Amino acid sequence: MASFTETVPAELMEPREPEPSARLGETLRRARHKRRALGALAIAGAVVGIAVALLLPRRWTASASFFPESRGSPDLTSNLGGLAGLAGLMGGSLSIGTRPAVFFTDLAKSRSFFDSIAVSTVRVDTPDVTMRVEDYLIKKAKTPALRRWRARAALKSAVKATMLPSGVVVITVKAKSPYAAAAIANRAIEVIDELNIDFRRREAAARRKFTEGFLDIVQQHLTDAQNRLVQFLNTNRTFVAPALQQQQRSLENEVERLTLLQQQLETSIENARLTEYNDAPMVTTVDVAAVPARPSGVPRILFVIGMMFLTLIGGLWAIHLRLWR
Amino acid sequence: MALTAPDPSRRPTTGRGAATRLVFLAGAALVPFNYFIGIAVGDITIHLLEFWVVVLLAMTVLLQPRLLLETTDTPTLLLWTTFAFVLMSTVLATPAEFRIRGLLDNALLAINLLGFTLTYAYLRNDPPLWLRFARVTFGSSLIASVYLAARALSVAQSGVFLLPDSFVLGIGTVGGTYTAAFAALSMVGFTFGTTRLMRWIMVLGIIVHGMAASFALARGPWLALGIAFVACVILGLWVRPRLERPIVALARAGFATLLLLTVAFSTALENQVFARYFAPRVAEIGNLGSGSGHTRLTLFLALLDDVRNSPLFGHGAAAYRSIATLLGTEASISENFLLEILHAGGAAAAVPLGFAWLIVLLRAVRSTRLPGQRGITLACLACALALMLASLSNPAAWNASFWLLVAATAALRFTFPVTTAHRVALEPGVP
Repeated sequence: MASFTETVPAELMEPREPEPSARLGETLRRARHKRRALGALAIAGAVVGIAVALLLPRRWTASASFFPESRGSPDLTSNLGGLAGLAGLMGGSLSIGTRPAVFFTDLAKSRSFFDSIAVSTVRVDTPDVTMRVEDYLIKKAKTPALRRWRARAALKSAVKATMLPSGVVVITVKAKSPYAAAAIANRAIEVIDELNIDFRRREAAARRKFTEGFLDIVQQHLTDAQNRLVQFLNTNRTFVAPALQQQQRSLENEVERLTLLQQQLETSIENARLTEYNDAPMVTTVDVAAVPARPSGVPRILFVIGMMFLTLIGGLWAIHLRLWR
Repeated sequence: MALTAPDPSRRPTTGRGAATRLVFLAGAALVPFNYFIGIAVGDITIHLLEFWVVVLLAMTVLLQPRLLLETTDTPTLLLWTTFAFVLMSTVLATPAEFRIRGLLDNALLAINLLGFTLTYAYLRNDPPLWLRFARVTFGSSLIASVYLAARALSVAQSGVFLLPDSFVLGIGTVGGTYTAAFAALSMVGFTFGTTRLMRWIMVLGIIVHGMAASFALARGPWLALGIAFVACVILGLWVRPRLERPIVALARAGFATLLLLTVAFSTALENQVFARYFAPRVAEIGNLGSGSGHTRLTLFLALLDDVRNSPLFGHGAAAYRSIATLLGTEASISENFLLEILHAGGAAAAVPLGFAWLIVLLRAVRSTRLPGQRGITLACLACALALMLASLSNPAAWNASFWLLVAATAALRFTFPVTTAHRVALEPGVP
């Protein structure tokens, strides 16, 4: 095969760099020479590791999960048929409570959610030790507002919501006490449900008010249509002509259409009123958070051995790179 | 061909040494096939190069026992530091349900690093062997890419598709990574090739590897190819002294790009079935809002979030599977080698790995200063860079081929060393 490359004259070459074996051998020789210092370094690393491992607070992680029940469940307003289309044309929807699962994960990042958790009283330690979450998380604060703000920030980093492909939402809580972690995780699901029920009620009330206003207009139109029909019948009692018959049918159809619309709106108002008083859960709990048996995070033994190993290897690298002569 | 002034005392002249060299070159021939030929044992696939590493290690220990000690230097030591921390974290921190899998991952990592260490050792110890290694690997890669492209074309015409996304034509992201890396090598080799023969061979490489890379339908490797090519062309134009005028190099780079695009798009125009899959992949090349890009991004963010819980020593190998399972993504793949190492061994493992990769790249950059060998060194640099970048979006680095190619790039420094004599000759005034 012809040459890919050009020839470099041998006279341009200079003696090779120092052999790596020489350098590695030198490193090993120096390491042997400094074995006591390296040993001391490793022990110091282990001591630092032990100190840090003992000083770092233990963390416990608990998980609870739920399924947003409203997905696919029949809604009270789902049978309104054409009225829903009419409402859609007017810029709204009559369907109440159908939310995508991702809504629930976003809800778990909202201020309302964190504030509701913060004011909740949960078990934070062995039986009978209960406390408000904000008092548990923030031991000292100058004002209640400052405590709430700091509790919100602490909860934001402690609570994580993840959505599985099936639509199940997992709430993970990290806390300094296993009991608090489990209790806050379970309380989070309750809060999500309460907030959703509250949203549902407020949404239904707003929908009812809108529909009542619309009903007033429809009733006015219906009264007008009925009046026009009565007036037509009063003024055309004796003549029977095709054009007049057609006009009568139109007026009757208009009255019939508006009557039907009025009935549908009345049904919608009743449904919305029912929804306002409906306190059935919006979510189904899949897993209740159990008190974790083992702390999460880095095992302390890893920290101790890791620090020892890190300082030892750091020392060897310092010798190899000739930073430590 | 005297690239360096080889020291005869370093070259194996005995029969045993020749046998070891033969086995070593057999590994070079296997590199381009290793990622798609393997033996499945349960959930694990054992590839040919893994056997090769074991055989070569045994031969080396028996026949040249001092070789590894004589050639081990900073990149090798850094990589083994990474391994040591990952192993420690696996033993102490990986959750019990994933520990066996974590230990198997460690074993695979050890074999891959042994592959790196041995390849680097042989190429460093015997610089003229480097060109033979490169020729065998590149020749073998052409055969592999022709086979992959022909198979993909056959699948496209049959209409019987294998798996979703990049596996639809049977190549996949890992295959796409290696073919794209060889395509990057060919494009840069053509741009800066110093001999006409080299440029012709590189044109063949662009056509064959470019076709296989486009059939792979893997967006990460395409991006890696583009970035590696542009970076190496800029580097080639920047590093002095130059052999060619910048306008000539730019014209060649433009021709290489045009040739690659022509190969990819003409295949798509010729085959409607391939075009149906190719067009959306090209259109969505940077799309991270949906599909596999979004799934990967979600997994990466979740892993980074989990790293914060143990930033120094990580959670152990295979611990990422608990997160992948929770997210509902494919649990057997982390899709980002560097991030996986960061999650497994923490900063203590990831920082040495990052430094090792950086040193390999910087050494190759340094070697590009020798004008006569610039084509080869820049081409190798493009290949290594494309591999490293692509391994941030797929599991290509878990294949031994990755480590052999990176080792060959690391050994460039000893094949084409830039000595003080060169610097004086090339840059008058340098003391």
